[in-house]
Amino acid sequence: MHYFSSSIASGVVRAALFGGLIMMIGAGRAPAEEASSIDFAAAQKLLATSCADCHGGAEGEGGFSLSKIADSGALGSHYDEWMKLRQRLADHSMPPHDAEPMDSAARLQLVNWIKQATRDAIRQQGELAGPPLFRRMAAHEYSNTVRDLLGIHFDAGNGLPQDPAGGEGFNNASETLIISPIHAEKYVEAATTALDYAAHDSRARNRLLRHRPSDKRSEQEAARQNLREFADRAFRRPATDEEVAAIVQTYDKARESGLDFDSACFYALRGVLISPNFLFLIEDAPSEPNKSVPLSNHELASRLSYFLWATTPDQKLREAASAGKLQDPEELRRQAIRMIQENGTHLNDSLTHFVGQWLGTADLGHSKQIDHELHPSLKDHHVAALRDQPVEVFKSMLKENESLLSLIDADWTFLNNELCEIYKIDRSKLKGELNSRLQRYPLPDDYRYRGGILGAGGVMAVASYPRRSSPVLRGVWVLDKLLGVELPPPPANVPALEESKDVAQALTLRTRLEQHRANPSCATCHDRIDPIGFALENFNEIGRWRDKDDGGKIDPLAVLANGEQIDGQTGLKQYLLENKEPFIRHLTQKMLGYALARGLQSSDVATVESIVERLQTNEYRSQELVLAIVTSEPFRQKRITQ
Amino acid sequence: MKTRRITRRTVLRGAGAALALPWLEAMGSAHAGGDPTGVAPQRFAALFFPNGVRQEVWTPTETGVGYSLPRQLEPLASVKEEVSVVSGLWNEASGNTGDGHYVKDAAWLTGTTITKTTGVNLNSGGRSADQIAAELLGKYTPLPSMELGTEPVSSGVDGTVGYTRVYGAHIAWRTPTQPLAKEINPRLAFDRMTLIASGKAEGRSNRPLLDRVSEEAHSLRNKLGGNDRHRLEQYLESVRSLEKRLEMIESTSQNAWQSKVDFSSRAAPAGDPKDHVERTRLMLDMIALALEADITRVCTFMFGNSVSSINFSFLDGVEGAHHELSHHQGKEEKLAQYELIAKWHVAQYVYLLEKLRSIPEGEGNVLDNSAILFGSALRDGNSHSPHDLPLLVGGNAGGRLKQGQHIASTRDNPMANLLLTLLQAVGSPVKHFADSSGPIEQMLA
Repeated sequence: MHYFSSSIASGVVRAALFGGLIMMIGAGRAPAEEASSIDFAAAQKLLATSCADCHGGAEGEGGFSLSKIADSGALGSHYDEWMKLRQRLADHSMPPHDAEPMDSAARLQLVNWIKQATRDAIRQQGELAGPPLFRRMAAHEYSNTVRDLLGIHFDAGNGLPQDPAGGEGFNNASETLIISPIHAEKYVEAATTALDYAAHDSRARNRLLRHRPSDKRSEQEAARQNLREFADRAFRRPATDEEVAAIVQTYDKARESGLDFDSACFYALRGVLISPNFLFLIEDAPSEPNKSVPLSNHELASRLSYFLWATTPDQKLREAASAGKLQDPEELRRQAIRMIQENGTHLNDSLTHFVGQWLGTADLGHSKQIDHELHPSLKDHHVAALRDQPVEVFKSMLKENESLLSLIDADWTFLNNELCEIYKIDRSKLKGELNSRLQRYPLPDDYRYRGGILGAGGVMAVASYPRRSSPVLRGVWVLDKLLGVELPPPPANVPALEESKDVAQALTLRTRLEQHRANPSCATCHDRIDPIGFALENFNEIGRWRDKDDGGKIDPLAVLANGEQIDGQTGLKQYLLENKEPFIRHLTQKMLGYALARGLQSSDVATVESIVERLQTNEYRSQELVLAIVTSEPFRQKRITQ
Repeated sequence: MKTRRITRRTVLRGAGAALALPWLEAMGSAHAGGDPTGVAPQRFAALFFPNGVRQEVWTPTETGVGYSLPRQLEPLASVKEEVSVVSGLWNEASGNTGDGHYVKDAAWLTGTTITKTTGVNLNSGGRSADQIAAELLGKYTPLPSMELGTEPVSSGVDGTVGYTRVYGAHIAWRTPTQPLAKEINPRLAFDRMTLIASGKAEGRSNRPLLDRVSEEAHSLRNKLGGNDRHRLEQYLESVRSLEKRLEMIESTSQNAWQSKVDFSSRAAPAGDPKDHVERTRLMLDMIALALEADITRVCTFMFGNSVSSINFSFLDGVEGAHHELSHHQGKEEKLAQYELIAKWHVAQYVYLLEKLRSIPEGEGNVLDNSAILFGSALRDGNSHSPHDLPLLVGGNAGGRLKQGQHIASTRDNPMANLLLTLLQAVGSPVKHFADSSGPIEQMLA
């Protein structure tokens, strides 16, 4: 079979800007012919051979002419054209079926060359800012924000529709934060319910309405002060006098109609919570196009806060913004470090989404259910532990400023009772008490394989079918999530592969996959996918270690196309550490996309590259990744294009 | 985060909400809600399931009336006279692209080609048929349409094929750039309807606040670029549709809209069931309830999202997830399981039809006054075949649809013809839809 999976459909290759390394695996220390580099002239020649019939001349079919990109300067200036071309080549949609078929080695050479050459060219342009932000809060951000604004422990966004992901694969991406007719109704309901909760919580109530009418302060004046303070926080910037006046007017009318002071204030607060100035994160558009303009202090505070905490800026951040300090990169760094180090759940609120959506482990217990018939002893808290483990690992790494490479391999991990049950870990071998809270433990040699992301059962579970592991899904998972490798779609008319273990006893799954790879059109991808998956076969469908399965003893030794051997998970970790650059670049790209809350564009390529360089010279320290992102041009500046 | 369950009642008692606001009383509108025509309402619903069917035991061998049911269609026996099998159709605009699922599923009711994207410039290429129906039928009900489903969307974008999963999670498109979010929690769907049927005080008190939003948005609009303005506009439309609904349910005029169901007599469904069978049944109950109460006359439902990984091991004889098994590789062992899953979906459809049939209305029942489409956007999951889509139509649309037949269309006729037929049957004045060449005459009574 192809890499069919629950999450990966066959189809057209991703329109990656620079995400993939078509031939990373097997090409790292690769057989030279696979990724052998060609130069500009050779590339042009290949294009002329395969494309000029239709795309020659000044016009060219489908609005695409080779003449547009014939000049080497076009690598940077016509980056998007090059990317379109690359995509059509990579997904085999060009040349069309009725044209002369293109040699597959030549196609690969060309695809790889375009990527490298355009990346080099675009880096010359330097870091560039992106568009100003305008997006509604994602449902979880809404929940966190209302919780912090009102000071209540209440999940107000619970009933909002789920937000599917866009951009770099996160649900905070502005492009996919769609508005449906149902949203207004849900917002009104959520605001009403949350404020009702706050009104019945004396601490929250006293904080929200801390200015009381008195001899010296009229009712209206007290209301105005309460409402202004709230609007300042809700709008994430000082509310204008006109805005405050309108909110007070709402209060006045409600008061006149017979509501008491508190109720009239709460009524006006409800209005604030359905205001677009609250529901949307808004950055003012610069007046001049194509010119980078610094974000305002409050805009910057919001970006920082929603990136690291997935909620509205706290008091310290607001104060720094009001004092105009955030324009100073040093202050920005200080604030970011503070937000990473501060105790409490805020960092977790964000990392749960970043890590969970990056790795796909957020789906556990939601769109990806553990099969309860097969694993009747696994309850919700077990699934939660599988889901939370990678988040805790990432968070700990970040707080301790450990190397990003500890995600690939580490001599520690996070465990609790539930995970020990799932993994069948002998608790006496662990140092320290265990309970239901996930805590960090040094790993004894016996359990060394639990270190790093590839030791997390949740990862193995999301890359499995409900009732069996799948080397193909695992291989695709590693290539897609850790290395950002683009996998072209399976070519049409390839005989399907039997992956089931119950049939054809004589042929093991491995043998069948090997036969499959003997077919050249399958081999292109499966030579890369399958060995990685086999290296992880010691983990069953919930990530428990096994030495044998129904088919007998597990043989986790995998051989790459270039003859290199990967011996099980340990060998795979070693392999990834030796090829760390694509991992680091991919993670950088993911986190930058999450931080900017949008898909990356060609103008972001230079930023990604400069962050990767910075990490290389800083021992891949994890905090450096965050700091490099928050001090980058696209994070601190905005720019509109014509 | 701790979640305290707050009932509707506590909300209504809440600060500022339930207290009398006399200054608002004067705001009542003269606009009446109800359907002035006096004839039985027509309904349109479309039920989508992902991943296709076992193709060789789907299409009946005989055509016309009196055909015999192939294995996967056996559950239709009890409603056979109220259902027709329609074969031979496809969506040409989504048929020739490389992607297996998203392209076909998102365009199931639009008959268009969607824009390939992980987010930027999301576009379905057209409006969906249910929304065309809602233009007419939605005028008379608090909700112009209702969107329901069962499955949470998986995280991430589908990097291998280059599509955001927004496409795989939505079949209803109000405009080409506005998919309609669906409710997947039966309890929330029930609460929403209960509120509409009874929640008047709260709605009225919110109206001045909603007016205020429009004013604010107006001053905000000037600061934004084109795309952003579009998003803001969508929020405003969302606010306006809420205002319109409040106006309708609060109207005191004589033929004002009224729920035809007394919700206090109906048990609320369990919170958020994990069990797929239970969740599906409850959601189908919600569709029936919405149509019965006349809260809406247009509904779409997704049994699962594109590339659904719902685990069907709960069925005897099935071991695995839907999408996994749809890639059956021609092996009988997998085909048998794939078949059982498709058959289960047909049985759920029958459950809804029977339920609608059991609700009396006028001389007949609700099913008599409905057109309920059921189907998938691909035929064979293994090859992602877009031809000869598996499609069923139930209900008589007030006597306009002739049921109980197998209508075998010429291969690769547009599915838009079927959508056009159904739209016209429920009273829509449309003459064309997507790439339609005309209604399917054999279906019309």
